[in-house]
Amino acid sequence: MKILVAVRQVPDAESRLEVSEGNLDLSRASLVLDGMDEYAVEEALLLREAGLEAELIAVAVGAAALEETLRAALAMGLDRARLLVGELADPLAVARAVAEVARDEQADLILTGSQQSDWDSQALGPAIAACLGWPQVSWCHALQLDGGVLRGRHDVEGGSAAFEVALPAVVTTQQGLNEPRYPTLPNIRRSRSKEVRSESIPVTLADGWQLVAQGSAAKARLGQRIAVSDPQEAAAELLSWLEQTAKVRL
Amino acid sequence: MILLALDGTGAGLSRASLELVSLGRQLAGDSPLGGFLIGDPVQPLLDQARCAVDQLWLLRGEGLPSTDPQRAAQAAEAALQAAEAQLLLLPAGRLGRSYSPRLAVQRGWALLEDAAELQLDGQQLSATCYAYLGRIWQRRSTHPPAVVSVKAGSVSPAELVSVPAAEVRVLEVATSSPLEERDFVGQKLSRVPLSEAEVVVTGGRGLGSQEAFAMLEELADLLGAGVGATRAVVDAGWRPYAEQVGQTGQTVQPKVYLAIGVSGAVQHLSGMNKSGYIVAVNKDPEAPMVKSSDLAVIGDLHKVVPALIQALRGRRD
Ligand SMILES: Cc1cc2nc3c(=O)[nH]c(=O)nc-3n(C[C@H](O)[C@H](O)[C@H](O)COP(=O)(O)OP(=O)(O)OC[C@H]3O[C@@H](n4cnc5c(N)ncnc54)[C@H](O)[C@@H]3O)c2cc1C
Ligand SMILES: Nc1ncnc2c1ncn2[C@@H]1O[C@H](COP(=O)(O)O)[C@@H](O)[C@H]1O
Repeated sequence: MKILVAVRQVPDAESRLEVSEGNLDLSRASLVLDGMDEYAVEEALLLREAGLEAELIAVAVGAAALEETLRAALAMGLDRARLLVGELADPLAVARAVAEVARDEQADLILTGSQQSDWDSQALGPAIAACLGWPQVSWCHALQLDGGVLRGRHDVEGGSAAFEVALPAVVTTQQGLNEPRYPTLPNIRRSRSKEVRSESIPVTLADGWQLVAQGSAAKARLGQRIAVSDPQEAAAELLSWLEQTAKVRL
Repeated sequence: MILLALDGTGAGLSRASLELVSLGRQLAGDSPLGGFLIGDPVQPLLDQARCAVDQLWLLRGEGLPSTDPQRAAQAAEAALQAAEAQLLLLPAGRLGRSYSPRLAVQRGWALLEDAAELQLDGQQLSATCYAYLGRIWQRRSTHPPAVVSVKAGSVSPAELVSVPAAEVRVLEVATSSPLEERDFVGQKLSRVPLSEAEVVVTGGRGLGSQEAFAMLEELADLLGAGVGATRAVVDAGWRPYAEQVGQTGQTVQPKVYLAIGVSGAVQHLSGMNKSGYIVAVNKDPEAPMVKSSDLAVIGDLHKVVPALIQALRGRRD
């Protein structure tokens, strides 16, 4: 059986993002495998370590530089990778491309993060499932595979629920599912010789959204400080600030 | 027609639905506004929904309503067909965002997620969305037909007129899904729901122990605030997941957000950085939360929080 793991490359959480004249400058940001996708990579490895016979394939859509991110997934232990080089349009276009690979590979299970930390999109997993006519399990935080049936728990509106679904299916992963491993040195070395098959895809901007403007969402903050020498005094100062500046009724 | 995905409780329409109604009216202008409810609504909810829109579809069928996105998408699809809608607005909650992409793909429509400041200008639909964990705003535009999930709190809720005027049509829909769900566990909500609290008091790993949250709860009670937690605290098992604020938890936008012993990792900031005022209590003046705050109290929280409680109690007496 084959498990496909869709991964994204995003700026490291610590990077400073700056927008000048409407363009986001990522030149000084380090680009990494999305933290949300690490759960997906780890889960594919865990399913195999639990005894499943499976080939684990990473897939990414976007710039050629994504090869580095695919290598990071290979260094964690996936077997090979597919890279679709093309302009990133919107999540639906990315989903269509991933679905194409799933058909080509005859994949049985697709794992991906629940929310991408660049477009903050939650659409990728559900959209891939819809393209393939497969069921989706979103926001999964416990997963088992047993004779072609997935069981686990996931977050739903207002709480969480246990689920059961037969393959094929798309599962979106998140915190709580597992603890993603760090690549070991031998695995990093081995990953360099693993296959990354790269091909270009046509741009499909037509029915997506287009970016017309962007800017920093950081709100200007007052930046006031109270240094605590006497806690009673600091508390009194904080409370009067809450009343006078923030207009909280105490 | 513009169609709204409405929902609610025994008491009536949810706040998110009332926000959709305001927005739908703005966008529809003088044209009729449609809406649907999935499942069999109780009378107060039905009455309110009839006051909110001009045409109402009730989507009934076995297994409805459902938290399963495959079923919700099939039900919504039936309403879209019946209404011949060109634009569907739904609330950007867990359910809405899990089935909106399915609808968009099935129909070949455009999709905007978690959209605010929506504008419809002829054949141009645009909205403000946040990206890069809420650090960047983007104005995105597309052409209807489209599915749009609307960010909570981005418009004020509609005040309903008191005449239930909407024409009601019942649609029987047969939905099916290979997904089976059971053992639903509802989120245990704190006394003041985080999404509605004017003040949120969030504790981080800096509190040092589960026991220390007793003082945080007392502080929250005195302030009439909701209690939030960081992921570090939830992972440690000190607080329930329902209280987690951030990328994988809840997004909150209170008037005042008090972050106590919270470092301010970007995944946490993305869930609260739209708050009116941010107050940090932290011993580290270099902590990112301190740098993103309006007021930072630099010192040991184990001294500051008890002093705050004492002062607030003093005011009560
Ligand atoms: C994919 C992904 C998703 C994530 N999603 C979320 C999310 O939804 N929500 C979330 O919160 N995190 C999330 N995180 C985790 C996040 O990166 C941080 O690890 C987490 O927010 C840190 O929690 P913290 O601030 O409580 O702990 P720490 O980072 O350990 O900070 C503790 C703070 O307390 C201060 N402190 C310690 N002792 C005292 C004292 N006595 N007095 C005063 N101050 C003191 C310290 O100076 C420090 O600033 C996510 C991470 C990933 C990778
Ligand atoms: N999305 C989630 N991420 C991490 N932990 C979770 C999540 N949802 C529930 N939990 C925790 O998982 C455990 C099982 O919870 P439940 O799934 O509600 O039965 C509890 O400790 C929950 O707090």
